[in-house]
Amino acid sequence: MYSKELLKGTLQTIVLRLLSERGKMYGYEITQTVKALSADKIQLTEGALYPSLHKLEKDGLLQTEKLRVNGRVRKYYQLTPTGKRAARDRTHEFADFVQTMRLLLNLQPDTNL
Amino acid sequence: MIPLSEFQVQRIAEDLTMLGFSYQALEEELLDHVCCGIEAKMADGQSFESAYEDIMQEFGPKGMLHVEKQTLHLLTKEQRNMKRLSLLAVGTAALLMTINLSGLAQSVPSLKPLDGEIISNFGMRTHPIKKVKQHHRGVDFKADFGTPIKATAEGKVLKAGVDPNAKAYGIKIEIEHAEGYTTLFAHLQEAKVKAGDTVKAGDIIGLVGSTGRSKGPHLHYEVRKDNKPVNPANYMPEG
Repeated sequence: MYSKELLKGTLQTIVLRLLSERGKMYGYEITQTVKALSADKIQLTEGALYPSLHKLEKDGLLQTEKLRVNGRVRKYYQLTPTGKRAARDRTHEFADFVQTMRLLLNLQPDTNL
Repeated sequence: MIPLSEFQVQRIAEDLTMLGFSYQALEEELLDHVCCGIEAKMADGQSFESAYEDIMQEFGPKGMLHVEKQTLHLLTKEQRNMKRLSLLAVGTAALLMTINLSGLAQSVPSLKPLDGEIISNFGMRTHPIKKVKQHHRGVDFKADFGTPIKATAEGKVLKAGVDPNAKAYGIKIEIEHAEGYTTLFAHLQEAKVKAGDTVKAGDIIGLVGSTGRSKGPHLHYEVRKDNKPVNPANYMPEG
């Protein structure tokens, strides 16, 4: 499991990217998918996920749809056009960031720099 | 995976309603979340009761309402920022005050130690046992045995337990905060902290009881500024 500090700021990127891959998902499904894809290393807490989903919806990046399933209401999230752009931008930005971090954390600096 | 029965879903829905959500859409969503979690655990062979318990545990000690609090907090953040900006315009004095308040909010007493009715106010009163008029140094909250008591600001525990010099207080806790403030919690059933511990605002520090000079379960709560009792009602949110 990664520290809270490290994960802070990555949650929105994870959610946006996941939805751009899978289309429509509901809260519980997102937590389980992230858990499985990250081999249990990232466990989204409900206290982090739901506030973030509601914020993304409010900001117009996600739209929702409610369906009745097994006698209860299930709320599905999917990307809006703005959300799709944001998903692309943030995924690129993060991939770039990872590369930069790799350079910075490399303990044997390249002498040709 | 076998879906929960209508009866089971109904029961969970009722439990959630009992918690007292104010954001209905989230309550509905968390109901589905809890049900999904239980179904997955039951598919792994757990019983309904134990699966339900485990899922609720996953919400942490602050529980589900904390998720609601976080969500509402995030959703209203921009409005709060706007408010802060307009405050800036009011002038330097107002600005200084805002900074002061937000900085100190966590370090001087500013919460209610528990959600309960105040049954005896600060100031002159007829003592309920001694039947004489005297100054009440704190406020009394009505609460059942075992009700959790929260620290009302961050601070350091000075004393926890029965003080031989003040046996009337029973099991009590004293916490030292910034700016010369201390808080005192008396007649506890149990102290969950010990002298020297540091606490954050909202941490559970003990349980309501009726130890010392007390007629029934209640919390006696004092706030002191430079060792002089002040009215705790002025150091908690209104209502």
